[in-house]
Amino acid sequence: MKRLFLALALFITPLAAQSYPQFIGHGYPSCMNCHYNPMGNGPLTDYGRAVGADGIASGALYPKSWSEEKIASLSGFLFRTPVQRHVRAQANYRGMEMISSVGTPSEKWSWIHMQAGGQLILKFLENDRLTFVGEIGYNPSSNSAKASGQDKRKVRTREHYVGYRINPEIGVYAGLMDKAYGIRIAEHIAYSRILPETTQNDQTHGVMIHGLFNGWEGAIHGFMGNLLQARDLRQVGASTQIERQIFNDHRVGLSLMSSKNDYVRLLSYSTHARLSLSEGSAILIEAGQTERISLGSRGDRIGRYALLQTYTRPIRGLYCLTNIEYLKSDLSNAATTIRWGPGFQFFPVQKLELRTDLYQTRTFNPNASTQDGWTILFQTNVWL
Amino acid sequence: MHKNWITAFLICFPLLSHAEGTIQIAVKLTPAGSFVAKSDRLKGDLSRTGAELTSQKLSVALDSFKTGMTLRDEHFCKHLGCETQPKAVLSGLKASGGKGTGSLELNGIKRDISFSYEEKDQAILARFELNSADFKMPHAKYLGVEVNDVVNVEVRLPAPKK
Repeated sequence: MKRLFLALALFITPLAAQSYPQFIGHGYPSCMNCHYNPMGNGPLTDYGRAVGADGIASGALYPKSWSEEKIASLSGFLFRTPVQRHVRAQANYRGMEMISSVGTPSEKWSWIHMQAGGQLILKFLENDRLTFVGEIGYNPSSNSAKASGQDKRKVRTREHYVGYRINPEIGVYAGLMDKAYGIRIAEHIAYSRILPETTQNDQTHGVMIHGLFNGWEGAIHGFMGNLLQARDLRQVGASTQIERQIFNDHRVGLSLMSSKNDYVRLLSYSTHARLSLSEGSAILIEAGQTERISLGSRGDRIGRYALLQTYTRPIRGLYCLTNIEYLKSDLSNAATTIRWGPGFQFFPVQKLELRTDLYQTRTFNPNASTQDGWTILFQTNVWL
Repeated sequence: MHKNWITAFLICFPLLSHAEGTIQIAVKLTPAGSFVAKSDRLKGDLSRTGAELTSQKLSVALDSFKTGMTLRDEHFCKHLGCETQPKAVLSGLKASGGKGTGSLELNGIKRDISFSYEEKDQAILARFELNSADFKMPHAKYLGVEVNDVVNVEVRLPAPKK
């Protein structure tokens, strides 16, 4: 069990997101204003970059003579204002100092390069209705992948797709993308992302239709698995995520996903809420279940998860967060895991995020005794 | 003579409220999203005669609106024309039975408006819709995100005593 904690802690890391679902607290319930992918994640639009510079990052470190307009004008790639409208680029690096098994003889400090990559965006037609988005970057291997000799690729693409907005309400996107499911929180090994298999390397080729009508927003996503994977491993299926805006500022939603490969069939369903507390503060809640049916062998199980994240913004640039997660990986098993802890997310200037998290993981099991796992993370995220 | 004026003022004072209220303007964005601009610097007079509420002048400084982002505050102020007319002024307000009218001057343009209101918890809460195009404001757009021309305004003022 301790190994499991370590393995989990190793990947408690946000990835490639500078704009997060909790920014509903800034009046942005949809990801679409700030991301090219309307369901979030991936490169930021010009507007998203400006919001990051002026609304999210602290203004305290800028010279007093700089206006907000000047700060926004530096939000483009390499701190420049784009001089043409068709090509955009972005580069990211995210690294983390992880202290695992805190306070025990086996305490370990290690620096992990989580992401180093670049994105290229081509956009055409009025209001950028036609977009091409591509991403390629360094592929960190998990300990288990290293041990098994799998996943030797040092370079990986997690996104490449073409998007076309038929009108402001409806868009069609085709290519390699994250699956439309649940709240796309940054912590890619949150239980709410592990169980339905929507983690950092679970992107899939497919076609997604996205819609936005009168307080409703959602997507239907048909997918055929990641075509760069071996055919027998590809998860083929469909998913949907639908949200309804309530009381002006909040969102509630449902997700459903069904997929299978040669070895396993997955059925996941969840409900979630994103509540704006205004002034940048927010609460995210998700609860769901995944039915995992092994094809050709025994080992069927139903896992259940829940997530509660709170974000409060005492001052511009700083977010204080609490993360509480629940996991029952097999309903027929008595073991239940709770992971929780506080964190701080700080954007001292635009294009720079510093984050620290403390996690305690405890498993409640009447049949076994396990030690609590304590992990501290210090993350640095830079994007240009 | 002075005593008469003082006496009249003292009698009328409870019926007259020197209002300091709040305004919230709900703004919708396209393709998605919204924000609320808030100001607590609404100033003016509000008085009650029988069932009727009247005000000669209510005004708010346009640079007092806060939207949660400094740059958006600046854009909001400029869009409302604060560089040429720093205040929005509502004059000739008359209201009774939950409905009212007045004349709003904004961006150098004067337009009659109508609103609905309710009295609750010792406050007057008025709501109305404004179309920025009526006040000759250009359609607002910033880096691909557009602002809907029609906004919802909510005004809260202390209720004058009955």
